[in-house]
Formats: sequence, structure tokens, C-alpha cells
Amino acid sequence: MSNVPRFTARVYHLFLRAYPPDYIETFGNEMYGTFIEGAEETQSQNALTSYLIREFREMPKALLKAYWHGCKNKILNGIQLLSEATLSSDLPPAPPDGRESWLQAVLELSPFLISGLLLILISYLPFEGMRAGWQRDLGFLGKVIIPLTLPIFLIGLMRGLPRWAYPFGGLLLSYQALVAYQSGLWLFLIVMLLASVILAVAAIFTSPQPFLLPVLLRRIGQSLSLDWTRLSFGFYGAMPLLIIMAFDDSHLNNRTPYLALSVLMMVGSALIYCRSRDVTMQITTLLGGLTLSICGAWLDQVSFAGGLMNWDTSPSLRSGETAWMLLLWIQWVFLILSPVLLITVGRVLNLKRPV
Amino acid sequence: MNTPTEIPLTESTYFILLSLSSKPKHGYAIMKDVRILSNDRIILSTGTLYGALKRLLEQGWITRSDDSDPEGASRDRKVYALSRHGRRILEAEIVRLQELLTAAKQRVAEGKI
Repeated sequence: MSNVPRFTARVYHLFLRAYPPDYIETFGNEMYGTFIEGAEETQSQNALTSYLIREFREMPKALLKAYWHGCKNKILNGIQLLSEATLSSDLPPAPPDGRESWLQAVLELSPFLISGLLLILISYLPFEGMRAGWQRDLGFLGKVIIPLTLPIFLIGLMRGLPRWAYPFGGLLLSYQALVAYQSGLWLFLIVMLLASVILAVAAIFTSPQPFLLPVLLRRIGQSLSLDWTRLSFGFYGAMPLLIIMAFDDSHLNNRTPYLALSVLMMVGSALIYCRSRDVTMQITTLLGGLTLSICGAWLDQVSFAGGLMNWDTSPSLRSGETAWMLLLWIQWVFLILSPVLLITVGRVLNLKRPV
Repeated sequence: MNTPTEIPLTESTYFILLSLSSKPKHGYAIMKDVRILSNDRIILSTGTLYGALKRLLEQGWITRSDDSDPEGASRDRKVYALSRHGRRILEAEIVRLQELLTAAKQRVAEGKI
């Protein structure tokens, strides 16, 4: 070899170190040998310069492809491991849900039935000592919601998160979100939740061992792999709290029938969801229940505020209330539909690419 | 024959598989053969070739073994051969290309192109 190929061989050897370690281990020596072989042969044919230009010009692209391919393999391995961790269930056999059993349906409906009943009793038959504006008192709400939901949700968690556990979890989580929102910590809560999920998944991707996935995430994954609409049902579990928030002026008004109607819509939609076997029907019902309940609250505001507070003279109040309810509705529509969006994104990522 | 879902192949993959269809080859021999088979249209660099070989190995379309040739063994060279699965894919791709060509020839013969 002349000096030129020896120098370029050194440079090429240096560039080879930029490849991923496992790539160098498998192909490093071979690539170097092939490069030298090519340089020797093209030198004898006086075509060395074009050979070197081509080799070094193509190198960045090949490097990027090697890293991208390595990343893609890690991601695919991670996805496979995640799906194995969630599909190979170490949970007890799933109990029948409200589609098969009326008893289970009643259990699944219990958070809506109990909260609906309490709401109607408190709103239409005010108890002595029940102070006005209790809907805005987070401390009071917490004293009712946490003891009623946390133990049942924990029992559900121990039993492999059957469908009846989700609305309890949803109500508990939405209460915590409201507390975080009121105290200006909602962003912190979202970041913490997202970060914990991302870190758990990243741990799997970088070091493929299923036990790294926290038990809670495994349980949720295994449970959702049986029926992903459970997640939507979980978000729908926040409905009692949404109704409380949306009817927070009901202590002042003339006790319109809209609260009772909203509660009825909430329970009725949950019942149809529990008994339905069709996924489209289930999701549509949940969205319908949410929409009709919020519409009830808006009508309550219109009939109350239109009469007592006279919205016509304070349009900013009218638009403010309407915008707030619309925002609440949009947020929960997004959450209920989020599993559908996740599935769609998953399908798009799995699209076949040419070899 | 059922059409494998992996086809159509990219041009580089097709020529690499075609190059290995006659006999097992080492890296530089594949590079030279691809250039000849494609009439100098496809000139693979070392990086591009080994990226493609790595993917084909992972997919089980080719196999890798030590070079039995004394010169190759002295250079610590490896040879690549087409696996049964790889051959099936190459055959399916050739059938597909033949069908394309037949259709085009038919239209040319009819004077419609």
C-alpha cells in the first residue's frame, strides 16, 4: 500500500469508532478489511480517489442508519417486552364484568349510584348544618371521597384491577387533580405522573428486563390488555366530581330539576356502558353521558343566572361560565378518547417499512 | 406460491440477494458483484453494505460464517450465504418483476406506449 491508502485507512479506522459498540464488535474488523481490499484494488486500477470520496461521503449516512437501526431495535424489543409483561398475566383469572353479570354491573355502577343519591339528597333535601357552598370546599369533599374510594380501589388493585375498580380510581385521581389545580400544582402533578411512566418505560427499553416495570403499571397494562375501554370508564369515574363542580351554585338557585337530570344521565350512561358488548357503543355512551350531564349544568346556569343574576346585563359572566363548562367538557372528551388515540398512534408506528 | 409480505424489496437489497444466489460471498465480493449486476448503477460503500447485511442477518434472509478460503481466513473474513427464507423472498421478487415486465411488454407490443 502507498502512503495515501495507509493514511486514509487510519482515518477510516478512526471513523469506524463512531459506530455503536455492538456494531463495531460484530462488523468492525470486517468493514476495515473490506475497505482496505477495496482501496488496494482501486489503487491498482487508478480509481482510488473516487473510491475514497464515495466511502467517506456515504459514511455519515451509514452511521446515522446504524444508530437509527439500533434505536429502532431497542424500541421494538422494549415494545415486545412491554407487551409480554402485560399479556403474560400473573394475575388471577379476570372476573366476569357487567356484560355477563348483573351483580358486577351494580358493583361497577356503585360509585355513580351512591354519589348520585347523595347529591340529590343534599341538593333537594338540605340537611341541618349543611353549609352553603360545600361544593367548593375541597377539604370537605376529600373527607367524603378519599375514605369511600381509596380502600375499594386498593382492593381492586389487589384483585388485578377488574373493571369495577376503575371508576373508583378515576374519582380519586380526579379529586387529587382538582386539589393540585386549586393549589396551583396541577402542572407538577401531570409532570410527576408522566415522568414516572416515562422513566419506567425507558428503564425497560434501555435494559430489557420485565421486572423493571413497576407492579402498578404491569397490573394496569395486564388489565387494559383484556379491555382497553376500562381506561375510558376510569376517566368517566370522575363524573360525580364534575357534576359537583358544574352545579356549584345549586345551593343558591331554585333547585331546578337539572341536577337530578344530569345525575340520571350519568348513571344511565354508565349502565349502558356496563351492559354493552360493542366498543363503539360503549365509548359513544360515555361521551353522551358526559355531554348530557354538562348540558344539564349549563341549562341550570341559564335558568338560574338568567332569572336571578340577569346574564343580559353582565355578558362577561355569561360567556365566562359557558367557556368554563366548554373547557371542562373538551378536557374530559379528550381523556375518554385518549385510549383510542393511543391505539391509533400505536398502529401508525407499526406501519411496515421497506427493507 | 404465497407472496411474502416483505416484497417489494429496495434495489440494494434485491441486488445483494441476487449476488448471493449463485454462491456464498464475502463483503468486498458482494460490493463488486452488485456493481456488475446493476450495470454500475448501484455502487455500494462499505458502510451501506454492512448496514444492509446486518438487517438481512437479523431478518434471517442470509447467514454468516467464517471464510474457508485460506486468503480469507488470514484476513479474518466472513462469508454470507442466502438462507432458505431469503431465497424464497428473492424468487417471489423475481416473479413480481417478471409480471411487471410482461405487462409492460404487452402494452409495448400493442403499440400503446
